Amino acid sequence: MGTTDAELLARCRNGDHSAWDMVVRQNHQRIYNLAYRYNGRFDEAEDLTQEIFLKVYRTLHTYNPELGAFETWMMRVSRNCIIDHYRKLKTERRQTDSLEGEHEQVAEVGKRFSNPADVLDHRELSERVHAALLRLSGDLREVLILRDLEGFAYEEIVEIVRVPIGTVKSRINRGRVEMAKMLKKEF
Amino acid sequence: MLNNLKCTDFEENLSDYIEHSLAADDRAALELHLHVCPSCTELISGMKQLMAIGRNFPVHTPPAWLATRIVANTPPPRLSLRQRLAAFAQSLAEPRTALAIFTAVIVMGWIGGGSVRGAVMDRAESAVSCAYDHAIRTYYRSPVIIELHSRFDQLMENS
Repeated sequence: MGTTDAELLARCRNGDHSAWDMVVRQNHQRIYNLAYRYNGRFDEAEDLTQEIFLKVYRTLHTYNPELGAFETWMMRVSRNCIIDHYRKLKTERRQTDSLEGEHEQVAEVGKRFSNPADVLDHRELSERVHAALLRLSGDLREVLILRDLEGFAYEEIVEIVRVPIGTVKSRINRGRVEMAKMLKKEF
Repeated sequence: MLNNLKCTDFEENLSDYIEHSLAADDRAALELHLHVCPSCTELISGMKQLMAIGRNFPVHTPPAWLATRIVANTPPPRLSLRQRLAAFAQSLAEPRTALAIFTAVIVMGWIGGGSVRGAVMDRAESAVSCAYDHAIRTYYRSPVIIELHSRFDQLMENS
């Protein structure tokens, strides 16, 4: 994180709204994509992105530049926010409906590309991978998104997820193996 | 050293193998297994393909209004006492605040002036009232008036 960004954050802490506007515009695409990759829905990703930024703003005073990059800190806040959102959503779904709805929704995404005669371009292939990713358990999915889609180093993922590096590595490997097996069945 | 590898052992070390973080002899053992196991060869190929897709995963552009909505929904910051005092001092220096204070001073002065005038009138009224009482008392206590009153009373009794 450069000096300019550090200054920008300091201005945000002092209540400078234009500085906050810049922070949002610099980072909202990344957070939006992270949220979308976690849940596969654009409308939810929009709401989640807003929720994440409001949380980042409220907790900005707790960020210490000496303890790590702002990006890593923001990813940790985002990840916690997304998990909280999911827990809330799961509880609501349990109360109103069964979890079958979620599986049906994910299966629906997969079905759209199930015709073997289709010539899959990169985008379609990515959507298939995304559909398979959504079928993974939350623990495996989050580390896989951070490592293979967001490109974070193992040490950074440890910072974000707050689990030992051995667990991170083992989850990433299990996630990749499960994904590869899922996709092998589909093709 | 990973001797006599089974497919499950291979799977456990697959990421380390792809990311080149295995010791040389373990790597050799895995490669030996790969030569005899078509299933694991297919798996490693699938995993490599998966990682390549991940590196080039589509990046979606958020709606143009999203950033504006986020900023608009961000609540104003909570200021410390010092910051609030500084903001108050700064607001005092603004022309509209100065104008408001000036107007308030004029109005208060006018209201204050009215009360002084009222107090003077009250005092004057009370002084006139005192003077009137004093005049009445002096009149009734004067000997001429008392004599006149007594003569007048006698006449009334005789008639």
